[in-house]
Amino acid sequence: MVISQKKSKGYAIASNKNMAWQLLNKPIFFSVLFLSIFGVVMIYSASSYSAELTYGDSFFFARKQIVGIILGLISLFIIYNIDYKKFAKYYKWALIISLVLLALVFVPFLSVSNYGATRWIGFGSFTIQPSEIAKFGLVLFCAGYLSKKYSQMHKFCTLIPVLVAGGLMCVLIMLEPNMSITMCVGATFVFMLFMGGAKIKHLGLLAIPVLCIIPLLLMEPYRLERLIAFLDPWSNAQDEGFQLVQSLYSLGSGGLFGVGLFESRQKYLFLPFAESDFIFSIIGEELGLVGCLFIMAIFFVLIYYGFRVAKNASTRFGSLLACGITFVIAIQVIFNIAVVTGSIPPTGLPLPFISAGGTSIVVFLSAIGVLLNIDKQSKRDMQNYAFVPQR
Amino acid sequence: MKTTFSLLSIHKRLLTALVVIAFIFMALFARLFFVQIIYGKTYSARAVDQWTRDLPLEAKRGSIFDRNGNALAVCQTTYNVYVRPNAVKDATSVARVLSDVLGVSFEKAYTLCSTKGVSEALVKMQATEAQMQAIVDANALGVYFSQNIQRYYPYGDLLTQVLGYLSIDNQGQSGLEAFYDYYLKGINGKALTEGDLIGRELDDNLVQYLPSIDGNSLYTSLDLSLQVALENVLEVIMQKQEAKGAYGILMNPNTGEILAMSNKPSFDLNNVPRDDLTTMLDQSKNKTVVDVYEPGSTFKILTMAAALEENITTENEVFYDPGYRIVDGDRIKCWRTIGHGSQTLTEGFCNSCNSVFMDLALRLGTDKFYEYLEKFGVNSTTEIDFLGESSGILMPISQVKNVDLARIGFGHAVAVTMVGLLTAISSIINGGTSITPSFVNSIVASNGQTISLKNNASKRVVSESTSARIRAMMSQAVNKQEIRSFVPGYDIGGKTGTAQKYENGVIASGKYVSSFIGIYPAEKPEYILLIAVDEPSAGAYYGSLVAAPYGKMFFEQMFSILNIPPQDLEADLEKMEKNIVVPNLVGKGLATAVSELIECGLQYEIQGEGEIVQNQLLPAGSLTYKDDIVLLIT
Repeated sequence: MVISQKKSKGYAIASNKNMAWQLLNKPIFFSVLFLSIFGVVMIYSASSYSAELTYGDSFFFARKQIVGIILGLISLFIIYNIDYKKFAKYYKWALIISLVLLALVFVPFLSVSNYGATRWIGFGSFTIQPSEIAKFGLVLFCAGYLSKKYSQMHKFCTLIPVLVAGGLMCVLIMLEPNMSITMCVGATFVFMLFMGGAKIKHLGLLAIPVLCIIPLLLMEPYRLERLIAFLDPWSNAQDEGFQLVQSLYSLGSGGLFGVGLFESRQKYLFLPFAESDFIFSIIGEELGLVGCLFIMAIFFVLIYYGFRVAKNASTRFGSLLACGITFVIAIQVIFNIAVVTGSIPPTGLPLPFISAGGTSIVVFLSAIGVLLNIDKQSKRDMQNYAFVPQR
Repeated sequence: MKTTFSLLSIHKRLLTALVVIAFIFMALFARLFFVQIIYGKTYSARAVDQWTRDLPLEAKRGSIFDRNGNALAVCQTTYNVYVRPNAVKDATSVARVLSDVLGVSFEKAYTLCSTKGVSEALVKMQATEAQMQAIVDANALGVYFSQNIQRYYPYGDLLTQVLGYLSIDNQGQSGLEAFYDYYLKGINGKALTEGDLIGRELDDNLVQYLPSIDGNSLYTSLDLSLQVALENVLEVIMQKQEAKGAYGILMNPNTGEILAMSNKPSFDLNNVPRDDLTTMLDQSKNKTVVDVYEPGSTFKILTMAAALEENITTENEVFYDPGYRIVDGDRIKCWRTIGHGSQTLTEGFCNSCNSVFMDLALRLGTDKFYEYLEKFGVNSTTEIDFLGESSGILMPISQVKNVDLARIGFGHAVAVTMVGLLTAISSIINGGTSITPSFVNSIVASNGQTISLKNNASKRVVSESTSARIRAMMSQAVNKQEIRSFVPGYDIGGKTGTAQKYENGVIASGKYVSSFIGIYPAEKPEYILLIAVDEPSAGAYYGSLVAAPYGKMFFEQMFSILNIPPQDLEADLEKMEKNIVVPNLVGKGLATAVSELIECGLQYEIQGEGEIVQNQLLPAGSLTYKDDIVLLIT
């Protein structure tokens, strides 16, 4: 009941400054910081040639990314200092705001189209991609709702609001169209239900419609290509497979140790979206399999510590929020690497923290702010009560 | 607790999720391992392929020279001049330089230099190296050049069909350019450059060169000055005889070396009429090698040689020609319908009497005659170094009836190429050995290495004595009769011929190929000449009138070019004076004209039904010999 044991570890005698340092989850913070800075370097390497040609400024993308990181870090520190528990009661608002933002994409004078898809809203040069925000909006909603309903999780009807919210969000994103984020969101809310305590057989019910599609696809495999080509024109804007081929050339050229930083040849316009969706290919080309392994390891460290935060969270809401945030990162890393290695059909999905993209980096860093706050709160709670909160 | 979901359960599910994620990460890593290590080499090889561009370094095509080292076809390096307006700093001064050096107007140059939004504009094509250097020296910023190697024919419309032309991408399409394309073209090199997706060169690009190997040069047996003379003579024929075409070949009958060869009409090789395909294809065809024709009387040399070699006749045997022969019931006319009367074999040759040669052919018989014709190469190609040579055509031996045999005897019912006929006659008059005609004496590589092309393996076709006897007859034909090809002081031998043309398998009325074959010196020939006139339409068509005078014209020019002095000029001139000047008969009554001719010791032919002479051939004032025939057109 008393904190005497903790005192002996020296928390109590630590200064405020020291205290803040102690409470910071260093593996998470530094791996994210490393990935972001590494991202800027890779973005510069991948885009300097194309940026010079297109904008007359080889730092064009790198500079934008740096601005994104600075904004993101500011946001991270602000959010880090807000108790996450305050978010719990706004979980419905998170859903509503997310859906509104997604719907705004379809308002003509606000929407910004590119590559045949409408994914951005903005005024003038300032644009944001609502789906990047919506992913975390959904996580917050699920965490809030499921932590409230944890005692009724064995009933299927408890799942229905989440299914409706997730389904609605999927439909809106699909309409943009953005197949890959749709899949990402779908995976996220299923994961949230799983973590929230839904019964496996209930989750299994969700799989039934998916399973129904499989025999159709097996009968006529071209349908899959059609489906993807139809739903996500961005990924098929160029000759089908061209990006993938170029990505494999990049990775293949890299070999074990890579051709050396800044030495990529594929970045000379051969590999489309080299600075964003296909940045991992450039990493593979310049730094080789070893470099890829290193980056994947750092992501895994991040995911591992993210789950630890979830495990150690002092509230169910915090736990669900933490594992939701971590899962969004994990699923995007997995999808992105699967795409660039040709393991799944090409879809446009950025690699968290590394790919160029302002909204993405700001939102991810903000989410890390939440994650770090959950960890800070649970450490404080440990200090204050030195027992595992009971439910 | 059974119905509520505990934190411990969360922990379990977290662990499950982490394990699943770890598993997926490992799977992705395995996939990366495959892509980067197992297939890495394959992928990177393909990638290298798309990173580099190899620009061909064009090999310089070999030149073609005549026997004295005059260039007939060379490669010229020209430059296309471009401006990139964005790179032009001072449009006025650059435009000034361009207009001064290239002769384009200043206004045009200024517009090109100052038009924004255009990445590149062509100022002038085919600028010379000196012009390019002048622009470079003037330091005109924003001006660029592209080099191109271009075929250039210094004499343009000369040897058009012999040299041949190139396609746009410098491949030989006809003539020697095509036949020797493999030797001439050289081997292109490569410049490997690294570029981006659309081929823009990279800044730190290292260009790797694989140098080109220039083509070999051809040293031909052609003689530029004789060629010029021949072409001029043919041009005169085209004009004077209003002919459809005129052909000439000058060859060394002992070696087969072609000294000059020309086809008219022709075009300038530097300005190939590529947009007029029919003209281009027709006029680029070397018809002396590619096309066959019915030779007519020039073929009689072959019949005569076979007859003499077989000893079935002698020079002094007397033949009677009533103007026709009846062969197996068919009446075959001599060209002179009133007949040549009694004449010796030699006179028959000089008169070109068809009846005599019908007799000779019939005496030889099909088998023997064919044996000789095959020896002379009539039914085969000459193997000349030229693309698309045709073989002569003989009727299948089994189908030859006596009427056919008789006709073949005077050069009908048989087809040969001009070069084939000349080769056959050469082998008869050169002492009796076969030859292979050729254009190229040696091929010289860019490094100086030389391949000499030698004509090999000649075989005997007739004996030395037969050869000498034929030469004597040809000499007599010119000296005694063919005054129109006689050059005083020079011992020329010759034979004329006139053949009907066939169109769609039937004789085309009024269409003839008139030809002349001349040898010099007749005693021991070093030159053999063929002049052929296709469809002369200025009135006359007999080879003696249409082709022989131009044979003479050419020989005269040849003697002056080669500085060959006349021999026994006095005697020849004396002989000339004994010759007859043809009187003017035009406008006179037919009876008057005929009696005037007989008074002069000339014979006549009448064409037409009128009573008044409208035209005469030979023309008034021309020199001729006793008993020559004047055609009166009424």
